[in-house]
Formats: sequence, C-alpha cells, structure tokens
Amino acid sequence: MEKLDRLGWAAGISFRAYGVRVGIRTTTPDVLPLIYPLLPPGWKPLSRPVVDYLYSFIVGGKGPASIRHFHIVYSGAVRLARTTDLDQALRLLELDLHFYIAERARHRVFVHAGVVGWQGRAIVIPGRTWSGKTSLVRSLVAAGASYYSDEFAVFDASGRVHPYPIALGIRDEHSGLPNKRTIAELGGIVGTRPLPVGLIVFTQFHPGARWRPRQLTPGGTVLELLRHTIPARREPERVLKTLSAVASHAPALMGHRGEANDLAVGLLEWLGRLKRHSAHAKRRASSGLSVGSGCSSPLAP
Amino acid sequence: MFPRKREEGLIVHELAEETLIYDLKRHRAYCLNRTAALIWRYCDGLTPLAQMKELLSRELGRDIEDWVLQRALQQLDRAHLLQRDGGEATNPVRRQALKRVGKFAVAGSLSALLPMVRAIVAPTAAQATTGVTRAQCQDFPPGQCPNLPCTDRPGRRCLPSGGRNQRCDCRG
Repeated sequence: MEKLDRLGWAAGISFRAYGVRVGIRTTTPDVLPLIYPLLPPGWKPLSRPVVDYLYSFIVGGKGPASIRHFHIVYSGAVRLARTTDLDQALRLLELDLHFYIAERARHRVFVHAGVVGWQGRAIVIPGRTWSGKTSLVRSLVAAGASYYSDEFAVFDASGRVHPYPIALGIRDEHSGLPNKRTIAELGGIVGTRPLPVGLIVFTQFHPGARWRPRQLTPGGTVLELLRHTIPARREPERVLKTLSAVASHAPALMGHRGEANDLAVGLLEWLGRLKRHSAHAKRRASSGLSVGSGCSSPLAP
Repeated sequence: MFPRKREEGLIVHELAEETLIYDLKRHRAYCLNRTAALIWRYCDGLTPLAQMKELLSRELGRDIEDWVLQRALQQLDRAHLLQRDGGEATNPVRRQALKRVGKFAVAGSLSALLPMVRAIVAPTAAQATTGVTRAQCQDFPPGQCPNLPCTDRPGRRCLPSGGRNQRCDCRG
C-alpha cells in the first residue's frame, strides 16, 4: 500500500453509501466521468476525503511508439485487474465496490436477490448468478411491476426493502457475459420508496419445469434467505433479526420454474389475491367475526 | 446426568412457532420447529427425561412417546446444541433406542409434532453473492473468464487456466 501511496494521483472522489465511506483515486481525471455511473445508488459526496476504504485506478492506454499500458485497479492493497481493456477494468471495479458496500453497510442487510414492487408490496427473488432471477425480474417489470433491483434486496431493520436500481445485467446469448441495460431502455418504471415484502420466491430455471412450489415456514424462509445474505458471517445477530422481520410478514415459495414470462403474471395475480385476502381477514376481525384458525391461505399460483 | 443445552457461542432468536440459532464457532444456522425448541429449552441439566416427556405432552396436548424425545436429543446433539463433557454427550441417548427411531413410519397428525432441526452453513460474503460453480466457470468461452468467486471452491476465482486456449477454470 505504501508503494501505491507514492504514485502520482491526479484525481479522485470520496463518497458515502449506506453508511460506508469509500474513496477512489485515479492517475488521470479523464476516467472519473466513467466511474461516477458505477457508484452505488444514493451515494453522497464527502466534504472531507477521510474514508474507510480506498480504491486505486492506474489508467493505462497508448503510450509512445504505440506501446499499450495496462489499466490496473487495486481494491485496498489487493490487485483486482491488470488489463488493456478499460471496460473490463471498470466492470471489475464496479463489482468489487458494490460487493464491499453490501458486506459492510450499516443499518441495512444486503441479500443477493432481484426485487420488484407491485401494489405497494415487494416481491423478492433471492438467487445466485445463473439462477435466472434477472429474467424473472425483467418479465415481472414487463407485466407492470416496478423495478427495484436485479442484484440486491436491501432490507432495513423493520423488514422493508429499499430500491437499489442499478442497470440490469442481461446475459448475452453468445458470450454468456452480462450486458447492462437500464429499466428506461426496457420500458419499465423504477420504484423509489421502501416497501414491505409481500412475497419471497426461491426458484431456479429448469427447461420445461412446471411451477409447483411448496410454502416455507418463517424459520425455513430465514435459513434460505441466509444462504444469499452478504454479511451473514460478519453480523449474524443483526442479520437474523432483520431476516426474521422479513420472514414473519411475507409468505415464501420454493420450486423450479419454466419460462419466466409464464410465471410472472401468475405471481402478480397471486400477490394481489393475497393482499385482498389479508384486507378481508382484517375487516372481519375488526367486525368481531371469526377469522378461523389462521392456517388457511390462498393457494400458490 | 441430565441433558443440558449449550449456550456459549450461540445467538438465539425466537419466532412465533420456531427458534433460530446461530453457532458463532461453526458458522452454522439452525431452525428448530416447536417440538425441538421446547425440548431444547427443557435441557437445563436438572430435568429428567421422564419429566421432559410429561412437560412436552402437556404443552403439545397429546401423549408423546419416548422415541420422539430421543430423536430430538439425537438431532440436537448432532447439531452441537447440547453440552458435552469430556467428548461424550451428557444426554443419555441409548444406541438401541436410536436405531429403533429410524425404523418408525410416521403418519397423520403426529408427523407435524416430530422434532425437526434444520441446518445450513452460513455463507461467506463471496459465497452469498455473484459467483459461479466450477461447472459454470468452465462453460464460459475461452478468454472471457468473468473473475468471479467460485462458490464450490472456496478461495478460488473463475480465471483463465493458462496456456494457449485460455480456458476458464477455478484458480487460487
């Protein structure tokens, strides 16, 4: 790190996101306009350049006699990238930066998940890469849901989910690598306010699969959410409390699915029915009528 | 000797009908259903098994057989949620009883009362986030390895394997 500190740093930014202070220093100011769009949603500049963590970006490019110099990116003292491809260097910086924030965010718990909003409730779709969650998010947005994220569900202590609307990483059919597309490009709308969770869907794409989910208990839901929770080992007590708040108020379904478009409409309809069922039960309770054992629930879509 | 629950190094969080436990030493999370949670609570080192069975029967509203209790204690012991003295579980779990437990076919409403202890290993930050299995890594086209963590090869990332064709593999 001392060697890095001795290099000539011409420019940089320092900002706060989710309670974490991060700095990015560069050897030329020309690259900063490319870095700003990569920052986490809701970031705010710091008035003083005192940070918890520092990235260093050595900008390469063509030198004398057409010699190409590498772009080199450091995360702290660890080298992240050494490449002549500027896009790749920026992509790796972005990935690591979001990952760092997700692990160390204060007052929020980050779960690797897609999220959409529908009629005042959120649908949360936890899953790793290649599980097909971006396809399902995209289908839900196309069916009218508002876009919250295809990367992280950001939960507060009361179990509400906050928007984290970075561009969707839609996988290229040929290369298999994600191409970034904004929701505006896809004709969708972006959610702006935190929502209570209405439904949690654990699913993976299998060609030809039929959607026949089973419903999880709240405890089972917490365990399954924990599998995808970034700070699970770092802050287990806070994580358990937050995930319990989420699981205590929202049903969770688990099963394989076929094409995303086929499932998306069904999920939105089911969430709408669930909301009407809950409102009806509350009205009956307030009127003094029996609401039964409380064990009945609308059938899964 | 009566079974005693382990308390050191555990975070316990109660839900309405279930209990969540996080083992800080092993980084494992457990979900105990109501029956298992009640039995674990009774394991205070002072309560004999006969009394536990009576308490459980009263709480669940039906007679509970010995093997239900034994099964729960076996599960709790395997999950390291009971204290051990000198490497031996303090609960008097008898081998013959445990063998019989496995042979019972459970039907009807009793299945809902069976003790259940479900466990997962808490992921590291890298394992929880964008990552690929080794098989997925090897599917990437040569020269386009994504430099993502390999979720089934801790500490390794999906990188070019070297050589002329630059195929992707999980490397340290």
